[in-house]
Amino acid sequence: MTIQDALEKAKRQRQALQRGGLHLTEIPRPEPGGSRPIEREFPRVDYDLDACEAARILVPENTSLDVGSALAAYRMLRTRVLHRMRANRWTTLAITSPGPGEGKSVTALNLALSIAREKNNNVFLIDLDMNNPSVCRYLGIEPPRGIVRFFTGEVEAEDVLFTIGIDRLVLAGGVETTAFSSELLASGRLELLLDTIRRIAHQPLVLLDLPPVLSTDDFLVTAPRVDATLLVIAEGRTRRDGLQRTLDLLSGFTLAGVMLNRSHERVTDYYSRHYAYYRQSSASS
Amino acid sequence: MESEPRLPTLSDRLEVLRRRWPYPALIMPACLLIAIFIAFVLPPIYRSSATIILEPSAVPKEFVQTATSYADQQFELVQRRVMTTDSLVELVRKIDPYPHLRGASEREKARMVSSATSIERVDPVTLETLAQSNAFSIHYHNPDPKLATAVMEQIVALFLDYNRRTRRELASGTYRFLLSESRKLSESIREMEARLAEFKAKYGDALPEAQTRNLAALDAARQEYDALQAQIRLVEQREELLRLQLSEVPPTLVAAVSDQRLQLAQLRAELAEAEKRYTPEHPDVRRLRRAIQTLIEESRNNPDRSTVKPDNPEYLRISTELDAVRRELSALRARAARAQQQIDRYSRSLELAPNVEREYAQLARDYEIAQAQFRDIQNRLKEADLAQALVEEEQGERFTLIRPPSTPTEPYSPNRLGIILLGLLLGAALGIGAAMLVEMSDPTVRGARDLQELTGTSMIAAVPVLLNREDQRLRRFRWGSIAVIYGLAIIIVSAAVVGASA
Repeated sequence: MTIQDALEKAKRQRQALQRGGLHLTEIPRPEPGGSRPIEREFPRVDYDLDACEAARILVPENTSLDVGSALAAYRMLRTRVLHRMRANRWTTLAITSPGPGEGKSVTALNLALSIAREKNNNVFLIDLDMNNPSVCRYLGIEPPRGIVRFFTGEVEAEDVLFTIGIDRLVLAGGVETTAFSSELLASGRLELLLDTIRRIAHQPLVLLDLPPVLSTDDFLVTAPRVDATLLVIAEGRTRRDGLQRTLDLLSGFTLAGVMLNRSHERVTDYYSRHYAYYRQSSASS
Repeated sequence: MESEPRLPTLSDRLEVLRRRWPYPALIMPACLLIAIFIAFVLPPIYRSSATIILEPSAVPKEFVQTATSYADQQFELVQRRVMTTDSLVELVRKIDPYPHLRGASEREKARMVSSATSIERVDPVTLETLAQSNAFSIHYHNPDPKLATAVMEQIVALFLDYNRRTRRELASGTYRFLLSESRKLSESIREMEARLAEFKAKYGDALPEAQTRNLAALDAARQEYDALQAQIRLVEQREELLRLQLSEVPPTLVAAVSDQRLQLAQLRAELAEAEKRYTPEHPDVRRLRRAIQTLIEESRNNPDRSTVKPDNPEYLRISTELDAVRRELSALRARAARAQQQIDRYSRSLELAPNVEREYAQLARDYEIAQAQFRDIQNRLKEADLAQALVEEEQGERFTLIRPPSTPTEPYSPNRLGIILLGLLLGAALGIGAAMLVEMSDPTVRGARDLQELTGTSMIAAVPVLLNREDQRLRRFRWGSIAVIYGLAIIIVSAAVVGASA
């Protein structure tokens, strides 16, 4: 399915919605007062603020960044991604980029944090980049049980999940690397993990941080198992030919959208004003 | 998926500038600072200028034709003589224009003066450069304004001096030349006159001007000749007639008296009769023989019959008349001969005329030309004489200093504003060029529009560059060092500016 197909589909559904031909119940609506919390308790690992700040992770205490416009940008990303996911009843979203260093892990983390901040969804972020696991590193944590151990069958799915003290955000990841990530991803354990998550949580949104498309075949192995893919493009870093090849590879899969990272696009006055407001409110809190 | 390649719009260009602003922002001030530095570090050169005008003659041209020439020709002539190394060496000996160059010889300095001097035609009023003008500005460049003025004064003096000398030489040279020419010409005219006189003497009758006269004279001579011939014929007839008449008339009244032949014949007849009848010794025979002898002797001694005086009056009348006619005839014949001579002479002259005419025309033409030349030269000689007088009295065409050299207060070069503006322009061009070059050689995705073109869909969101503390520190450091470098550069340039202005 190409991007245009996906867009066509989304457009059709929107039109159907406007005509009233589609049942409102088909689209998961956020429940009033937030989603039902997960009953289970997960081990909690506190993130390291310095590491987060260095890695540009927008945890609530992070003040080192130009947070106003950054938060606004991620809010926009969150809203549009969630809209598409709801419209298409997607629950799993792979996040990848053509090459390394283009910000897919940062985007995945910040998007997950942003979704969790919305208080409507339980969001699970699984770091599947077992060649270069970054999520835990960025948070400055070492998870109780690494995800590689789950894929190798050493531990159960429920055991690799942990929280970092932020409501509605559950993570799985690790710091270990493996040379057999592709085989591990193809083993069927991933479905087990996803099923477990669906069992534990009500209407979970699962974000999967995948390795770069052009580096390994991990994405190609994983893509059939996820609903849609968010492609992260870094301005001034992603090469045009690389993007073209990535789009060719992605042509068979559903593309949730393309986002531009490290953008120099003009920020509107609205962002700046909001930023000022944010600084005031964060200073007062 | 692939959209049509778009031509870059103005907003695209602005987008590029917005993205690559550090290139022009850094390169432009750098170039500007370098330009300012160069503009003020370059040693100042002062220019002293003077303007000389070629003043026309005080006496109008219509009155005295002086040896005028085009202003630039005169100027070039003088300039060639002033700007020789020899005359400039003199100048350098008087004033050393480059005291800081101790090693340089006088000739080298003279050459430097020559190359530091420039001349341009200017408008005498506005002093603006002009293509055609009779005023000239002389400029001399020197690092020292006072020396520039001093040298300029010397150069101007040289110009005026040489101009005066050149004018004098020109005037006297013209006069001398014209004088020798006029002498030569008068010589040749004299020669020609002599040749003409000789020619006229030789071919006087055949000269073209005698032609009509010759024709008329020939005609008259022919008529006279014809008339004379007719007269001669008449007179000859009359003579014949008279001769006949005379022969018929006996000269004497006794017809036999003088007829000796009849007497002789009678005597011979008698003798023959006597000899038949007598012997030779017969006295009759002898007598007859003696008589014959006597008669023969007599006729021999006196052959003219006039011996026998004619006494017949008729005969005498006719004879007299015949004599008169014969005299008339001989007179007429003489006149005819003379007329014939005349005819011969005139016709010969007419035959010669064409050749003589050609030669004569040649001579006359040469003579006329020589005369015209002579007149011309004489006129010019008079004018040259006058011109010489004009030059002597400083009334002729001459160089006048209309703007004496003044001490410059502002350096002529470097053109500081020009260099600074150039640096600014160059900086802008280099900065924008660098930005464009970097943009063009950038293989990465740039901007939402770029992304849309590549993916065929609009992006879902754009996240700006997030700066963490490290980034901010790096950025601060980078801009800080740039600020320090530029600050230092500004201080250095300011020092140079202040140093140059002091």
